Amino acid sequence: MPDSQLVDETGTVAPAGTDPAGLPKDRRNWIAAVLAVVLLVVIVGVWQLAVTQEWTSSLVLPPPADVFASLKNGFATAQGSWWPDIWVTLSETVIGFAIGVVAAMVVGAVFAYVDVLRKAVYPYVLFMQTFPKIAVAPLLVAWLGYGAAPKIVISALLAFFPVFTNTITGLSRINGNERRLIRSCGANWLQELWYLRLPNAKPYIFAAMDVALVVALLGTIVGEFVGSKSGLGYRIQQSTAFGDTASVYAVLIILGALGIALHFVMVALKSWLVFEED
Amino acid sequence: MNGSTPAGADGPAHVLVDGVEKTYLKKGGAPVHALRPVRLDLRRGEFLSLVGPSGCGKTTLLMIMAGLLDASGGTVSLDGAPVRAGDPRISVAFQQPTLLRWRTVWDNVILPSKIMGRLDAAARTRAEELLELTGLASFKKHYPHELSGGMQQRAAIARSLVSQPDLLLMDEPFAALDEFTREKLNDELLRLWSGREMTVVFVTHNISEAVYLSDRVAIMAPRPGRLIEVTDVPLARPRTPAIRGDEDYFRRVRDTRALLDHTSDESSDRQEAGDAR
Repeated sequence: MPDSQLVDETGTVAPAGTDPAGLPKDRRNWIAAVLAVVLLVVIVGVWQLAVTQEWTSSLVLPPPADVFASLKNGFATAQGSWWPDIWVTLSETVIGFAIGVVAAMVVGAVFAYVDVLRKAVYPYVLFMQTFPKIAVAPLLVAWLGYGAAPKIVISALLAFFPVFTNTITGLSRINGNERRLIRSCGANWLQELWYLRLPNAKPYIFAAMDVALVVALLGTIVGEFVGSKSGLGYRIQQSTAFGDTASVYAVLIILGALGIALHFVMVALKSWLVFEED
Repeated sequence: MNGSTPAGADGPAHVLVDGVEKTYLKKGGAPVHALRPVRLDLRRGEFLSLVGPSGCGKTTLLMIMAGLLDASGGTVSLDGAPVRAGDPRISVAFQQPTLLRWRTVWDNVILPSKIMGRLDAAARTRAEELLELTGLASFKKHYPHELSGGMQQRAAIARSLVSQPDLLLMDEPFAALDEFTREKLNDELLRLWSGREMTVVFVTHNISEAVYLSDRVAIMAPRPGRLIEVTDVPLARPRTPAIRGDEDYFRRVRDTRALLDHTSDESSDRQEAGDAR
């Protein structure tokens, strides 16, 4: 990324990194970090208070220490380890996500170029888009069994649509003069795709991939709820059945961390592949 | 229409606009004449401006000359061969700089050559020289949004010249700039043009700009879009900022303005008559 400085005719450089409050940027970041930690302490504190004051049963709200112990136990010992389940859920999510995103970009590109096809299939697309796709999860498990296949299919299905619509938008929402410029250079359709439409679509596609990642994880968990023998969704169901609420909370925390980790992988990928004006 | 043939032209026309017109057919309505048949010929190396109010068809004519818009009738030819989009002999500069925001200044400037498959050492050298000439040599690695409007338009002009076009078509390239930057770029454009065997067609609604730059000014009028008159600008070359204070220059601008005012009165009268009917 280049320096985000605006250089004008006279070579003046616009000041960057101050806000209306007049605080310098590194100072603001530091305050924000402290506030974030304080917020965490407050949340855990209120949680602990709710347990000690017995505002509710420990079956509903286990003590923070129990949840922490369950987390630690799963990571520190081989007995009841989280790792195999994390691996199952992660791989199903990533594979489903990848299939959904690639399919969405290919089909989206075809739709962006072939007007007739887009118009013909659009009603079905609209139907599928508004349809609550996780409702077909039981059916998929019935068809494909208790393995990874149905989870991957649900994840892919959920990841497909946001990327699909944004691919079409990004490839077709082209500035008229940019199009004329490329045409005036004698570009063929492939060059137009490569030099104009694809770079134009990249930010759209990546924005959709952020959403797709979240729903892919959601799809996998729902798939595991419906029928499986492993995975974090399976662990939630098992722990709930045994009344081990602390472990349920532990899985939820792991899922949150997993989501954030995937998100940061996306951000890294995006900053590598997409040009951003900032 | 005496002025449509350049004074002292010898041999066949370099650029010939022969009866070019554009009509849009509206469903259940009268056809809209965006441009009535236009005949223009330009000699090699000539600088011609198309001037007129909005809706006079000047941009339409330019886009047809670039091969980017199909004419309803007539032809445009360059050295006897009809023009088409992607013609390597023609370059187009647009009203906005139209630099691709994800490419650096350098990558933008060499893009046309790259697409045309003509990005050789000579083209790179020309690109370097043009960036030097436009004062952008130290901004090669910058992105368009990091440049001022004037610098962006300079980069766009540099880009349009890398392919060494015979015909440069410019659609109000300086319309979005402030007066000072515009005048500066006018002079830069003249400097770049004077060293080359290049014909320029320059669309503008700024009369003084048209007079300052051009060998001839083609005056156009709206409703329907049409060419009214082509006048010579026999001011000496090279033109320098000094002539902006020149009495002769002022008179040319005033005369051109009078012609334009006259045509717009005429068309608004016609419009009113049409409304009254």
